[in-house]
Parts: sequence; C-alpha cells; structure tokens
Amino acid sequence: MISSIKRFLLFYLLLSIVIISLLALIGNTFLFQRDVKRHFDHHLVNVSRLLLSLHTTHTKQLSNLPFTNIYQFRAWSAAGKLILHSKYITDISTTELNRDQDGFQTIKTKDHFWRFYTHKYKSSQIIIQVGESYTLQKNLVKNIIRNYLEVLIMTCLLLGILIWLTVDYGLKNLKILAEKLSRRSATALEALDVSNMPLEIKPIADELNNLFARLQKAFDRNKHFAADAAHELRTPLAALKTQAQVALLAPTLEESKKTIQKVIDGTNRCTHMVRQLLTLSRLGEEEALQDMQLSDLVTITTDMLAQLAPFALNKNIDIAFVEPDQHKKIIINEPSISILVRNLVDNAIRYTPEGGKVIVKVVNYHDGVVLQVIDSGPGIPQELHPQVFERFYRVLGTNASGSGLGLPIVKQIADLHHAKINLSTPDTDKGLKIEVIFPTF
Amino acid sequence: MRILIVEDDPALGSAIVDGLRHHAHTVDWAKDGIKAFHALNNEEFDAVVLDINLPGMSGFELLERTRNRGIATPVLIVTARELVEDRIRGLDLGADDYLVKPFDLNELCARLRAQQRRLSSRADPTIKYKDIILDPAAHIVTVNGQIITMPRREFSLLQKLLENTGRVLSREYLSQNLYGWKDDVDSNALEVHVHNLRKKFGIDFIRTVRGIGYMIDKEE
Repeated sequence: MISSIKRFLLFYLLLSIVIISLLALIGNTFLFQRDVKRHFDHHLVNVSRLLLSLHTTHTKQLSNLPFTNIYQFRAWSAAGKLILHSKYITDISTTELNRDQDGFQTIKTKDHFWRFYTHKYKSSQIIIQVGESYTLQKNLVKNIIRNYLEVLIMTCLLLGILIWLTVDYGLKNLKILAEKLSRRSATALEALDVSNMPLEIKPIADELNNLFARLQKAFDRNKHFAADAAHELRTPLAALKTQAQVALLAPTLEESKKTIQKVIDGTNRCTHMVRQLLTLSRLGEEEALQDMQLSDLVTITTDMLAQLAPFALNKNIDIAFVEPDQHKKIIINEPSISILVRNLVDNAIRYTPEGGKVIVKVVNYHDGVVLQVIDSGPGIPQELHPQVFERFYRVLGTNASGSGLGLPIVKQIADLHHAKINLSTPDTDKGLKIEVIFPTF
Repeated sequence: MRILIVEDDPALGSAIVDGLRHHAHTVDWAKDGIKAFHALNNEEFDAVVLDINLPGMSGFELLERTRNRGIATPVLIVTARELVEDRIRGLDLGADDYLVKPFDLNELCARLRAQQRRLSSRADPTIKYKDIILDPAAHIVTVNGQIITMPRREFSLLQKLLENTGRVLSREYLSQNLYGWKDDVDSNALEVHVHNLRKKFGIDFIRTVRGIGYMIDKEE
C-alpha cells in the first residue's frame, strides 16, 4: 500500500471520511427517529383534542371525515359504548389494544405497525383513541437515509478528485526533484537548490547534497589520482622502451644482456609503483577505516620485520628491533598498519647505503605508543619535510628506485588512525628518524 | 653531434644516453635544471633533450633563462605532460620540438637530425661535399658511390666539419663535441681522428689553422 503515497493518502483519507460519515449517519438516524416519534406523538395528542372539541357539535360530520387509511379513530361514551369511529378502522381485538390504558401504544396488525393514543377526558368522560400508521414515519426516515447516502457517495467522488489533485500538488516538488535528478548526467554533482523546497522534502534534498559533495570529492580524487598515476608511469615506461631499443642496438651479446637486465629492473620498479598506487587508491580519504580493533603493534612490527629482514641482509644492512617491556594494545586496523610499517622499513632499507644501520623501535609513552624507524641513510633536509608527504615527490639526488608514494601512504594511514608523524635527524646526526605516534584514545 | 640530456629519472636518463651513443652522438647528462643551465652557459651543444618536471629548476624555467641569455641551442622537450597547453607553452618559450613520454628512440634521433637540418637550412637530409655524400640517419659516408667505413667519432668529426665548411672549428669545441664530459680523453685523440680522415680523403681535405683548430674549405 505504501508503494504510492498518492494512492495511500487517497485510500485512507476516503476510508476515514466514509467511516466517520457512516457513524454520523447511524447517530443521526437514531436521533432523527426519536425526534420524528416525538413529533408524531404530539400530533396524535392534538388530533385527539381536536376530535373531543368537535364531537359535541359536529358528531355526524365527524364520521364522514375524509381520513385516509393511515389514520383511524374511535370514541367511547362513559358507559363504554362506541359512539364514534372513522370510516377505516383496523380489526384490532380489544385484548390487544386496551382502551382503558391511558397513553401511547404500538400495535402490530397483519402488515402494519400502528401507533395509538388513548385518552379518557375527565370533563366529558369520553375515551378517544387515535391511531396513525407507522409506515409514514418509517418511509420518512428511510428517505432521509437514502438521500444522505446518495449525497455521501457524490461527496466521496468529489472528495476523491480533490484529494487526488491536492496530493498531486503537494507532491509536485518531489516530482520536480525527481525530474531534476533524472536529467542529471553521471558527472553532474553540483548541489540542488533547496531554497524553495517544502519542509518535508528539504531533509532529503540536504542529504542528497551531502552525498553529492562526498561523491564529487571522491570523484575528483579518483580523477586526479588516475591522471597523476598515468603521468607518473610515463617516465618509467619511457625508460623501459628506450632501454629495450638500446638492447636491440647493442653490438655485442654481453652489452645487450646488460641492457636487458636494466629492462627487468625497470619492470620491477613499475610493478612496485603500480602496487603502491593500488594501496593508495584503496585507502579512501573520507571513509574511516573499518575493522578497528585492539591490537599489539609489537606483533605486527615483528611480523613485518621478519619479511623485510632478508632485503636488509642482502644489502649488508644491520637491522635491529627494540620492543618495550610491556605490550600496550591500541585500537588500529591491522592490515593498514602492516602496510604503514612495511613502507617505513622498506624506505629505510632502500635509502640506507650498504653496510648501514636500521633500527625499529616500539616505545610506550603515557597516553600512547610510538613506532620509530631510524636509518643511517642520507636523511631528508628539514625544509623538505612537508614535501615528502606529497604524492610522487622524490628528494633530489636519490638514486634508490622509489615510487614517490611510500610516505604519502604512511601519512594517509596515520591520518586515518589520528596518529602524528614526526621527521627528525637521529642523535647520531646522520640519517632519518621517523616517528609515528599512536594515541590510545 | 653533441647532445645535452636533462632528465632527473636515473633509469630513463641512462637509457637515453646509451641510446644516443649508439646513434653515434656525444652525450652529456645533467640530472637537474641548475646543472643543465650551467652546462648550457659554459659549453656548446648541438641539441638539448629536456625534461620538464625537474628538481631545482623546471624545464620551462631553464628554457626561458637560456633563451633570455641568447643561447639558441635547439631544444627538444621530452616530457610526460601531454596537454596541448604544455606543448604550446614549451614551444612558445623557445623549444624547437616536443615529444611525449613514452617515445621511440628512433623518432627522438630523427627529430634531432631534423633540427640540425633546419639549423643549417638544408632541405636535403644528406650532406654533400664535392663527391662525398654523408647520410647522418643511415650513418654512411660514400665517395663516388663507394662506401667508406669509419668509427663513430670519426664520422661525427667529419659531419661537424662538413656542416661548417669555410669556418674554423676550435680544437676545444671539436674535442668537447666528440667526447663530452669524459675526463680521461687523450689529448692527441682529436689529432688521431683528423689524421685518419686525411688518410681517407686526402691530405688537403682538412686544413689545420695553427693554434686555433681545423676547417674544411667551402666548396667553390
């Protein structure tokens, strides 16, 4: 029934009106019947009095009164002799109709109900009985009910049309809204004009506008991201193509092998970049991370270090992990924190020269946990600290093959956890110290 | 010809250097805008292959500053930026050509050769001098239809001299042109190449201008 507001309103409004009208009809019929009865009784009393006043003077004429067969009367003398009656009298046995009983009685004959008024007048000792058929009363009430029902049906039809039109007009704004929305292209995400919207529709429009704004943001982000990604992949692709062409030109097999090795390295670099791009695109900026749970940062870090240690050892880098005495649990999203740790440690190994040192620490502090990654690489000059978190930014003079996305990924994950990132130079005055400070909430 | 590569990406930079060397060019590689600017100010190049997104000084800025200084070396922009606005901006700032990454190495070489042709107002892609025909693209020299083989530096030297007939080219210029920023160049290397060319084309083919350099006489 809810599938159409218009039909819903029409149906239930009309139903209510019909029910109320019928109830009113029942009530009215009852009241009306009472009034009609009272009125007719009063009439009988008047006729009775009229007969009394007339019988002494016009006795003869009275018998010939042109009473139709819905009226009848009888008059008895004090001695009980029937002295007068109307032309038409029903055959009512005296047992049924008691002439000694003063007042009103309702009697049923073969096919009619009759209302009788019997009164003994003290002045002349005459008993006068006047009767009137009920048919008249009944017909009157029946007619009135029928008329009422006819009017009700007509009214309902008219009301139905009026309700339909009114609701239609009331819902016009919804229709306009729907039309506006249907005419939009998939990329038109500007806000709807809510200034003329009715109170009931405005919340919907407001929510739609909020949704549009969020979509627009996500849309822009994706567009920029795709453009950035395509742009940034052009250079490594150009390198691949050029290297491959150089390999074709190489005069000796040895030289061409050397160049093909470069092509393979370049492919690895592209793969790394694509993987990082995917990671970054999966981390939405607005949506909060799902599945946040109480986890141990030490365990996550240890697992990740176990995966990355071989790369460090390959480069002859001394890698060490320092864990706190107590493991403090914090509310984090484990998969993304693993990515954060991997990127930080991977960067440290990447930029630290052979024979260098990488130290990873988890330190407790009064209201949180800090992850520290300290390397003995070239470090990042103070003035470049804000820029290294920008996508595709690479510090000048670095020969390591980075994607320019590692630190932006770290930053985004940290932001989603309301964690702060500090870049500094370690106490040894060489290399880079990155701290990620997690609050415990 | 001597070409300056301005590219910050290590993989692409080294690949272009290798590729152009295989095409018999002398190549020097600057990894940022500032180094490239100094190189262009102090040395002579036949062409510059310029990236736009560079650390230190952007390619556009480098182009603007070198042109303001009156340095007219042909510049071929090689960049990931494919927007028409960027192309227009680059060309209007004084670039001679524009290539979008990823590009074809052979096309890069062809465009560089075309630039050299335009520079010497030649319509003919080959250089003709008396009965010598030098084809820079095919890397072939013929005398009366007979192919003369020679190592790539000798070829470069011959091309440089033939492109500038009637003009004395200094020893330093020619040496830089052949070897670029290599430190370990034998000081007699240039003389050895000149000697070899004279053996092939006759003793009077290349004239020595004492204390200054070498030249090939203009064709009469």
